[in-house]
Amino acid sequence: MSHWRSGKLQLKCSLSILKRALISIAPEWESHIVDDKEGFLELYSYQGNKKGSDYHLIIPGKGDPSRQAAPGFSYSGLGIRKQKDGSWIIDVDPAGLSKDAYNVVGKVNAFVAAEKIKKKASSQGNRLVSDITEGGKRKILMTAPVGPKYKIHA
Amino acid sequence: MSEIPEGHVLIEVTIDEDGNYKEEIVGHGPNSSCTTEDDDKLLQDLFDDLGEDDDWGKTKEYYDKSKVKTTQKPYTDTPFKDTPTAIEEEQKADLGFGV
Repeated sequence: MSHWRSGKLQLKCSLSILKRALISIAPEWESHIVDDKEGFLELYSYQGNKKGSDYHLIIPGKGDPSRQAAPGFSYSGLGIRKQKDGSWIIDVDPAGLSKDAYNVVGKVNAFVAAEKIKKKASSQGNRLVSDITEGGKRKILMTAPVGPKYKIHA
Repeated sequence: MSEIPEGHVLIEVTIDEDGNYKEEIVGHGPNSSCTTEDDDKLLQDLFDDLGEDDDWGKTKEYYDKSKVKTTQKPYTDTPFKDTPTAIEEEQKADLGFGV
């Protein structure tokens, strides 16, 4: 029996960032991740029941008839599908996942937010001062040039 | 902590376990405005379009060939073609076309 959970990602991003986010949660998933930029991948659950066939990225579980299950997944795998507005939805049954990976949607959200913030900051010429994680919270400190309209003119 | 350069601000971004994030200006360098209003505007300028899509992966609709536009701009010659080079000018002059 599957207990699917669906979570919408807060930020739009590329598939490659999502892939890196999942690998950061569990490096052993890397060789099991399958992606398709056109979004025609199938996701399976218990006894090969198909959850859907419109996924851009999947990590197979034991219910996938044609792929080897990724470590930690029970019968249902993980799938990421794209909505018309460009946002991503993660479908996952976290039943068999480790404590670290259980909140996979939140962790992907956090990774994507950090990556996008750092990328944006870098493109604006900001300088990274520190990037630390304490008690589950990540703190990124950076200095940013303010531009003429935010400067004090004597 | 290192000193904040002139005309810069120090920004702290906090991201929790669920990916909720909050930006805050926590320090101002010399000559940078430190009003709350300006801080808010500055953060908006810096991070407002964070949610925009920067993805190469598109929806199925995007890949539906029937909806893909096939019109293409005609290839145009390089604009340099019409501008005579210094050598061409010299050649013109040699041939008596120059001023």
